[in-house]
Amino acid sequence: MWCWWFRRDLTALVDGELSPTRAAAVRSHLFHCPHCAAFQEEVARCVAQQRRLLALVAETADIDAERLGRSLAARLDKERVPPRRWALASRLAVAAAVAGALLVLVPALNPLLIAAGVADPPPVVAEKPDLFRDYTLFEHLDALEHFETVQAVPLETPETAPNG
Amino acid sequence: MKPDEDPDVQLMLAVQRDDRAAFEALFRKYVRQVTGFALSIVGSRMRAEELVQEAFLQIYRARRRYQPRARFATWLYRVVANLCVSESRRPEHRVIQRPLPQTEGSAEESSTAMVADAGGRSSEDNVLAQEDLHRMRVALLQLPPQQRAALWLARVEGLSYAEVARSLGCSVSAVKSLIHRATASLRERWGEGA
Repeated sequence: MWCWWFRRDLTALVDGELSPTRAAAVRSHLFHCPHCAAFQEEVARCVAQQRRLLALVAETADIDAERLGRSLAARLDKERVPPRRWALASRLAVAAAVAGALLVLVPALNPLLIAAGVADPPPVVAEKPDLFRDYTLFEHLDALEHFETVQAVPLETPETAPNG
Repeated sequence: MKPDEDPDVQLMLAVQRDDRAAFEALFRKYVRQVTGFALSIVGSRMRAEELVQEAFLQIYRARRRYQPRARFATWLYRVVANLCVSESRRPEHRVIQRPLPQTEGSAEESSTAMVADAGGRSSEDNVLAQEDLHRMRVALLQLPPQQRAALWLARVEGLSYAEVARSLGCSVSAVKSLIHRATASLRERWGEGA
């Protein structure tokens, strides 16, 4: 009844890959079950045959190691030194990318440079500084337009806050 | 054997320091057996050679990230097995696999010579041995790739089930099952062909 449970371990038993406890259990079953004992002999014969024939299959593979070695060495050499044309193309691509990035970034960074005093402001700003003096006021215009919304948020100022 | 006791691990650590001679030494040592292993899975010598070269290239490219956690051979077989099993699962491979080594004249001739030399048998015995060899090749290639790989590593390379498991990236119980099923399938096919 339990033969299948032991039979699935017969190959591992022949290969000497079962734990001592499991191997003892399987051997005990084989001692009492002539059918499984016969099956075990068949498995052992097959394993021996496979070892012999597969080893022969491996020996007769007829592999040209020298040719393979030369081919691999050539591929390694090719990987190590990139072709000169490719190296030049990649350098040109990097230079073009850097130039493009500078073209985009320099105008964008101009206000910061002016604020830091590194660059001069445009002539219009230099001629009419009054137009740009109250710039911070504009930042509050949006808040003034939406005064009701702003008022809905309870604010605690020193005048309105209850004492204690 | 622990990884740090494996001389091939020392060679691989030298490869990590760009020692090309160490890499060539490892290649020379293993190329025959891993090509035989690859051939047993993909069934085509040309493809097996390509895959073995690819495996060594991958190992060379990955040399900086190498960490000696297992024997070098285990790692190598894992790389080769992954490539071969992936290759043998490709749909177009199934078409290539059918003709088998019968079409590869040189392999067949050399195997005939080797069988004939073994033990001074009569020509009738040699023919029978040659037939056995051919039947084993055919039966082996009819197994699923994972079973083929596990069986080859255990029976030909003599790896323990634990080493086979590390090489194939699966559990020891999975290897036990793969080898058991492969052995049973080969036994059945052998019986059918007799």
